Amino acid sequence: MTSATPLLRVEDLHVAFPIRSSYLRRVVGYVEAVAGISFDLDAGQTVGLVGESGCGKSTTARAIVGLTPIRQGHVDLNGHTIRVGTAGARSAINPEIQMVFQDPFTSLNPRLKGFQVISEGWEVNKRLLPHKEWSSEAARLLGAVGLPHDYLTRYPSQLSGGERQRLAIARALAIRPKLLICDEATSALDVSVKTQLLLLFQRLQAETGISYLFITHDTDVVRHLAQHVLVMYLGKIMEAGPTDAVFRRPMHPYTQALLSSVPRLRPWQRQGRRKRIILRGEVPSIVNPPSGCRFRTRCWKAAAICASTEPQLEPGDSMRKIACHFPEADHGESSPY
Amino acid sequence: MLTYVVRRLFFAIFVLWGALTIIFIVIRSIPGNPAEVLLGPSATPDEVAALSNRLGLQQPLPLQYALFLQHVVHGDFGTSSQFGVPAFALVLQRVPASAELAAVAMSIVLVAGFTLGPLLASIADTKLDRFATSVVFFTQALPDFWIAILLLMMFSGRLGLLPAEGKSDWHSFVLPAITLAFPFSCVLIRFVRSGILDVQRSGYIQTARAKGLSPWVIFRRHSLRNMLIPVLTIVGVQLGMLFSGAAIVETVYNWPGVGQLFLNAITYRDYSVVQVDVFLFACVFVGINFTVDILYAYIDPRIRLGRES
Amino acid sequence: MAAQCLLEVNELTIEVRAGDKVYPAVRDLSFRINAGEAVALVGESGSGKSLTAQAILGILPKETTRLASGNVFFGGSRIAGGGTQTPKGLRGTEIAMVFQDPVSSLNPLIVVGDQIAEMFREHRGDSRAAARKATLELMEQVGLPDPLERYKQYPHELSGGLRQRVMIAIALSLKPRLLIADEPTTALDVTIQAQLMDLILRLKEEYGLAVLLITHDLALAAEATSKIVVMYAGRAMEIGPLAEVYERPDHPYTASLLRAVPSDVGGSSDLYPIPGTPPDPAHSVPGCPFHPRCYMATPRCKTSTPRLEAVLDPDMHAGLADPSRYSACHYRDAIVPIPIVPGVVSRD
Repeated sequence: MTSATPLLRVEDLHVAFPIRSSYLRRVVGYVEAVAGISFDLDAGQTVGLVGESGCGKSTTARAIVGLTPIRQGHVDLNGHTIRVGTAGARSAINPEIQMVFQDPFTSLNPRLKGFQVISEGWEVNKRLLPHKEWSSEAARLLGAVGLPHDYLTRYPSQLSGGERQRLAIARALAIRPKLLICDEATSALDVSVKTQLLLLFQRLQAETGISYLFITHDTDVVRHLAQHVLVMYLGKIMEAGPTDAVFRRPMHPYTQALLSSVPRLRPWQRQGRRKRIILRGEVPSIVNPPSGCRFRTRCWKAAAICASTEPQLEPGDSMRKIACHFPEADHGESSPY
Repeated sequence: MLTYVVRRLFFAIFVLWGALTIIFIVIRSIPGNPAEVLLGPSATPDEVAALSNRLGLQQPLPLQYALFLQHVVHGDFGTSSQFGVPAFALVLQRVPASAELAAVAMSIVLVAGFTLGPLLASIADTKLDRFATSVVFFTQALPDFWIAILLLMMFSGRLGLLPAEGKSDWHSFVLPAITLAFPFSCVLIRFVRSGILDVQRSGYIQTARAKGLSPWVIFRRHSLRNMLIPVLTIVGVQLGMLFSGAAIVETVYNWPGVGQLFLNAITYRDYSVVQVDVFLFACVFVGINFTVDILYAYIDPRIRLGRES
Repeated sequence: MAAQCLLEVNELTIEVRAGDKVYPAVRDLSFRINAGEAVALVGESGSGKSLTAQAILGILPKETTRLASGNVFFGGSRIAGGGTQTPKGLRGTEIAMVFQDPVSSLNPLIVVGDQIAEMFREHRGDSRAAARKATLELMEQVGLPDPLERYKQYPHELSGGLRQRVMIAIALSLKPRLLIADEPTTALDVTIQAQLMDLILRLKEEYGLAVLLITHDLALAAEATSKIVVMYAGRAMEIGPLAEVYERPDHPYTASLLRAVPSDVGGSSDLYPIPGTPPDPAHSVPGCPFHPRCYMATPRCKTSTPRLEAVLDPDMHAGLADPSRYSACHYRDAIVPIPIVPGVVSRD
């Protein structure tokens, strides 16, 4: 990573949810959905946060935006700490970070017309834009996301899923954030619409230099948008590095398994062929994670040390970090079982 | 399951205690000497003094409260200022009449709900369904005394078929029960209809059909219990309301029930009786809710075992 | 070597009623599945694939849908068409289905073991004990850990992957000849998806099943099936052996769709979306349904609806039609690759 101050720095982030007893709703413990993750995001770049359900990626996004309180650790924006772990306290939403959600059908208020959806941000942050410019700016934003101007007068229910997502993006961009967090923003869409939206994200970044934190379970999306990728499992980062390197030569067993599980469009071709790894067993409960390395219960390399000592996120090669006692480059030779 | 029952029980007792506390506060908030209020305008100074003593009016408020609770636990809510007899006994005497009426009305509601509900469900989303549903809505909004008067005019006045008032033999139950049942039937019809539709459109019914099971098996094993949960809630609430919300119907038909007594007591400022009535209604609701909650847990394993996955 | 035709869908048209409007959601659909074959039915939302599956099984909701015309043949005899739907007797015993699994595909009030055992009790007349025994064995076969424990659990206590194994157990309990899997892994994580597809394909080999896999995921289809039916706006656009179709599509929609899938091979981050949006099934346009978004469209495509017909195999000298490839495009014999126009932003 560069030595200049990154746009976003997350350090040792922990997010926990209370478990309440069934008798008197007393708090008897905590579920650590995010158990200490750190990463940097540079201006104008995209970082992909990849993992399966329950890994804590969405929780991380919500903690950065401020929708979920942080238990420990801190989040810095442009060098200034904007969120700090103080139990229970919820800090203000920072307008420089905006979010686009997964479900275009429920994330937009059905009673607001397109114009109102976009202009709400300006009503709250009055200093951003003088009132007389609202109409023209809203129209410009719609154009930037590829929607016709007359959508300003339409309700979300009159738009298709892909169009609603575009409107949601326009809304997020209205207050000129530096960072856009997209939480599974393309997962609920058909293939052809998804690709249109990905192209839009690419174009917007090229034109405005906005940064993205892209949360997704879809590794192909990450491949096309993100320069850096973080692979999460059960609240921890397993592997982190440049997308190209990590995807071409994954060093962590979970990354290897994850990538090998993704179905390939033309499996009969040699290029990019990967040995299919089928993981055994189910994902352990986040309430009671395995001791030591959290992935060890499904890992074919697990040894005694994996249960006793948790591997730290350390440099694997010159560009990336992994948390594993037995990392390796995938030559297709490591065989599970 | 046990923790669930215990929690529900705690909650029930807590609500009843809350009701009593509110009753206490309200009575004490009425302008004037609480003893005079409770005894009514015809009381002698001696009677007032005696009651003041019993209630501990010269004591600090917390002590009065404790005394109040102690009296309540022994069934002593004071004496009716209208009739001069213990209020508790007076109300209790009238409970059977209201309970019987509520039971008959509930039967009518259940029959209507479970015959017309499925009927409406079977024609769902057609023009006929929309028309029928609006009729049901409209009927639900009709005021009960208006329905009562219409029925009286027709069946009692014109046709002379049924008695106009009072509780006597089974004939006398007909008009009051039907009047009472009207709006509740409409609600149950709608609930049963949507309950059936929800289940029919659910994923597991599609799975059941894909399994090649006979329609009867699907209904008995998969639809029925699942439908019962929302229906159970509403029936429970309705039972409570049939009992405690019959005041107007009882008055129009001169039915010797708790509701009629309640309205009279309010008119005559007979606060002792009002106290008992309010507490009785609270007990009925809490009791029914508690039973429904327990039945829920018995039927739905998601509640019994806690929502985990 | 002659493959035995197990299922034949013939000119199937399914009408749907929404409010006061009636429109065909599936139109003139024809395809075949041979015994032991794995076929993918691929299309985006609104293409009518789920309705097709329901029609084959005979569980179309009769309040809102109707099998308007066409037939379905199974094992040589007609099972649906001419006003009748597939009879109940075939469901679960000869043809079975696995649904997409939100929590709602299993009855939340009954333990999963009993939901599997139900198949044995109702269809085979097994006693409780016999059904239970058969269920426990079946649960092991589908990879459910601790069958004795799991038997007594409720659906909400199981993870998505385990619930789908229960569904698979239910579907395969009576050893049907055809398994229809309607988006079976769409709601699940990719590692769980890999486990489940592995299980389905393994059981397919063991039982000699034919599988109809319904999905929008072209890559999943490639990994699991050997024949593909591409649907768009309720019609079949192209049918053929999957690898051949992917390597040399005979329909511009197939070509566009393959192009639009984000590349899973490293190196390229270019994206080629299909311009425009999928059509609203309630408002059909005359001519070919794909023509507004088609890079090969001509005026003829606007007025004349192409039929699904065999494609001439260019490698066969005699010009006889290759019976395994079909396309619903006027230019099926002359499909050109999508032109790459540099610098053009998609016309969305």
